[in-house]
Amino acid sequence: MEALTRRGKSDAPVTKLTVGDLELDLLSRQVRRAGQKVDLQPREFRLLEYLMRHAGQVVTRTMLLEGVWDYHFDPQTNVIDVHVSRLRQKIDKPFASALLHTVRNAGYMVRAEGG
Amino acid sequence: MSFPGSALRLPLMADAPRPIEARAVARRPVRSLILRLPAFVRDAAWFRSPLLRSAGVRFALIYAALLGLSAASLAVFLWWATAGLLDRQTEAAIRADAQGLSERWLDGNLPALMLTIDDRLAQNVDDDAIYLLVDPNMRRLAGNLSAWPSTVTDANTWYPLPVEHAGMQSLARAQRFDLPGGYHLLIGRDVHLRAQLRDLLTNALLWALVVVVGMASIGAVIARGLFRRTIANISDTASAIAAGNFARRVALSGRGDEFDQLAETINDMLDRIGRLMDGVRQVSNAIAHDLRTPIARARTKLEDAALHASTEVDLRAAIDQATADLDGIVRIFQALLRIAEIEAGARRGAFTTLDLEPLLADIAELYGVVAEEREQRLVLDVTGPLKIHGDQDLIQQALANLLDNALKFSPPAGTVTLSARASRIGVEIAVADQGPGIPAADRARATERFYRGESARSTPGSGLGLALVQAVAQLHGGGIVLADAAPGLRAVLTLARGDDHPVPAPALAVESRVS
Repeated sequence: MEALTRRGKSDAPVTKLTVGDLELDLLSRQVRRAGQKVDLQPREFRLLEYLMRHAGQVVTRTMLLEGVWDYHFDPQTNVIDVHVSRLRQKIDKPFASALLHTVRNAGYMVRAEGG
Repeated sequence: MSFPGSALRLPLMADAPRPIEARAVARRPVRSLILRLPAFVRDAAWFRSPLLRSAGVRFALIYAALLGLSAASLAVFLWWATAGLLDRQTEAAIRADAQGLSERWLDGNLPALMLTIDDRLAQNVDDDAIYLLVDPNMRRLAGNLSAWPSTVTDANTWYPLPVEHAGMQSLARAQRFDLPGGYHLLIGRDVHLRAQLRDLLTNALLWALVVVVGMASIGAVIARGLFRRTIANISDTASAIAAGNFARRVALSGRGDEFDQLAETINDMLDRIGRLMDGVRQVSNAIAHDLRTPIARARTKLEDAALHASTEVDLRAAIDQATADLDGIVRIFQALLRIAEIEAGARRGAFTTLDLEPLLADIAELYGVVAEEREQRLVLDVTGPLKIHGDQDLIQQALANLLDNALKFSPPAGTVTLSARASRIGVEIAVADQGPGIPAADRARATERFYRGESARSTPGSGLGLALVQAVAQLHGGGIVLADAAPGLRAVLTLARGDDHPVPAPALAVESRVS
């Protein structure tokens, strides 16, 4: 419930999402990490957007499948894991600190170090 | 004046016309009889006798009624063609007679007419002519009738006239002609031949009735015998199955008639019920068997951790693993429930018109990344438009399951092809891989719940993927066919277009591009 209200508040006027040094511009559809431009595929962009909108919260694989792909079923294999790991390659790998974390037996979370 | 031929005499007019009141009195009880069956008929034992409840006897009665009806209409026609013809001939003869006699009257008046009548009577070989000429006082002047019958009052009307002819009761038809000067002439013909014919027809009809009843009885016996024999075959089988012998089937006569068709339908139904029951039995066995292993494993891990874990990290790791195992079990149950829900047809209400082109592109994108990760290739080959009436979520899930399998079993650097094209019944979607495939002998069983191929023993999975695909296909009026892709497996999923989606017209195809 708390998560929902928080999301509701941030939803309407926001044009830019920020977590740590990661910035996602919803209007120009551009992503920057530490001032450096990161090139993302449209689906990767939507995946990151969804994760950043839920920054600080655990996002399950089912939530991602529904929120990003609009699929309402439970895939047998690690389809989502593959997509998340690709995204991680682009936004975390070249940088010193990780923003996209795996939560065991639950899902993922985008969170700034110490945040 | 002599009477040529035998003398005819009017019988005594003793029977006066019936009193009219009698008929009015008789009407009331008749009406109440029509309105409802009398109690003795309704309550009679014969009315509910087994004989009347037999379908064979009912058919025989209908058959007898039809036979009787056609016999009756034939009799009516015969009557019209014979007795009616005689009547018409008689009337024509009398009219001709009258014409001749009136000419005699005009030629030579009364004596000539009387002479002619006597001549005609003398020359009448058949002895069936009746003449009577009377004066204004109704006294007989000529003819062979003893007196003027009191019933004959009007001219130009046909009267039936009972006469006594040589001591024999007979019937005549007569007409009255009025002559100038108050003289009356009656001309008639004895029609006893017609009466004889009527008797003949009545007799024939009675005999025909006897024959009809006889044939109907024989027909009833035969029909009942046939019914009993055929129904006995079916009811014996039903009783045997009710008694627990599920292998029994209705025997076919081989004639291919309606009863054979019924027997085939019943046998098909029994086969289907048998297959479903086998399925239920297998599923419950498989649930017991397949779920025992992960539950036992989770239990062992927890037990092991409780006994041997020395640090909190170890303990937590063990709990995490056990949780993951139990999650897997929950997923299996969810999949089972989902298949059951699909098979029950509950989701048919959520059917909408779908274009499979973007749907296929989306899912290929989702799994393309997985393929790349494994250094495999996912090729999409779609020729649209592919419009069907269906459930989007279920079709996506079925496709996901097929792609999941294909990628799982394909070797590294292998290619998985997702192709789709419009077919006669709707859409045909094929997923081909280059994996080990499924042996031909096992393909039919591959869509059963919990089926795991030999090559799949070492890979993760529940054995429910293809079962769900099959359920989805059947919900959409299609099916899934597994074939050899040489090498690999080619799974062909067919989805029917759906009732309110006939063959898409070209205009519709253009529309779908625009939208």
